[in-house]
Amino acid sequence: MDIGVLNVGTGSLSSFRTKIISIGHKFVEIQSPSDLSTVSRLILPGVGSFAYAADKLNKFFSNSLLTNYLNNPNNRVLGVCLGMQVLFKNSDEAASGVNGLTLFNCDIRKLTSDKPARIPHVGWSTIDIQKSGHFLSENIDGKDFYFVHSYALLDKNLDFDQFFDEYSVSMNGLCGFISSFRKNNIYACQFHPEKSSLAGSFLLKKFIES
Amino acid sequence: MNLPKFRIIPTILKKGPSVVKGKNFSKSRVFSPLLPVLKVFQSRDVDELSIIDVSPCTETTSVNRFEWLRSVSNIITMPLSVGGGIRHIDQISQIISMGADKVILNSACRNNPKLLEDCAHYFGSQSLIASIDIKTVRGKHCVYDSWEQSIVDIDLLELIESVQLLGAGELLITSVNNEGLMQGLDVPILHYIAGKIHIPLIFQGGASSLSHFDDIINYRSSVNAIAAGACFHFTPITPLEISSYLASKGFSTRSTINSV
Repeated sequence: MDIGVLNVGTGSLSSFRTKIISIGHKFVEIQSPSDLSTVSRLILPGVGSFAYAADKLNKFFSNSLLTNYLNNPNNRVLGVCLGMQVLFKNSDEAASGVNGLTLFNCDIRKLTSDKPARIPHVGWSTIDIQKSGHFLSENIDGKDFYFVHSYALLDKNLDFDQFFDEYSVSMNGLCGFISSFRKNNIYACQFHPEKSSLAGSFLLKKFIES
Repeated sequence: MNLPKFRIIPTILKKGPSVVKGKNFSKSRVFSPLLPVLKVFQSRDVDELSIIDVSPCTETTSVNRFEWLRSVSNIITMPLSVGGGIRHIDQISQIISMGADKVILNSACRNNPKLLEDCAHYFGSQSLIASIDIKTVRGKHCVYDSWEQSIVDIDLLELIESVQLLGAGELLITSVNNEGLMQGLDVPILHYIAGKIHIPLIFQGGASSLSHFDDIINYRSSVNAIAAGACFHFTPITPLEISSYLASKGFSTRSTINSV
């Protein structure tokens, strides 16, 4: 299947290219809104700061483009790392007026630190699936994924059991946060599946195929 | 306490198209082209990989210096950090756009603090590893300049503090005395600096047998990863064997699935 990866200068595409090819799919770089009609799977990568990514993505998806894309139930979007965070409204990382794509009306918070846990949260951490489904399946429950971040969707913001169709939590020290979720055809992970060995490949295949 | 898993990070020193390895940062010898070494680490499914370009810095701000990364990111998919002669923010931008997750800045920690600040600002602290080489002379732990091969007159603990304030997301500490000798980790340095670090610490220099890792068991809460070069180039020991050994000693290490 053709897998679109958005290229608006908010992240590295080469890791996704290599990973997508390795699991037997075709990598397609999405550079303009007209490219969107060619793919039913769209990945939003994210490296950088919230304000920068929010600006780039809001510009790209102007005129309800993303909502229209998601209105087709055959289409799926996957936000990765900062690409997950910008699906939300605001972040502690950005000034108060800066809005993300606001598909969900809550905010991203800075991780809290407690010795010996450190920030940024860098490295491999376990995901603990709270609600499973076709995306988050038991095969990857308790497995490790690669994280690099200082901000996250913390588990105080809303009633996640009610809100998400599927989700997992992870911990950095005593600070728990949402590490992946699915809500309808919106998929997201705070970790980097493209960097997460076979567990990452497995999850990407679920996003694409299941 | 759910800390990130303890990482074992193979380090590759790249010079031109080849992988080299030295002792105490000198007398380097070529032993393999780069790409086959990368393929081995990819197939071994390592936690993370570092590549340091030790080629001489002729045009110091040239973005062409890291052009070789293009072929690398077609081969490997593990987390990757890249360093060696990074002098300019455009180089950092290029390195990250070509698939590296993090850059490693060493000389800039001493000579160009603004580069650390800019890197943290534009790419986030999580993409910045500050690297400090330490040489111990008559019992004193000194900052070492590996390009000039000389001691630098800067207080080590002050430098460690300043790079953290500048926004470094991780610290890579290398023992020059132990580097490449495969005689074990430099515990006195670890003991000296451990309490001063509040970001993740990668420690490097001298690890080459499983028993060498016994030395860090008491430092589990201070060290987040061990990096090693010669160990993986010149001994049959694999990163996975070290991880399994550490797991048997109570360390929490990575668990992944076996097939897709």
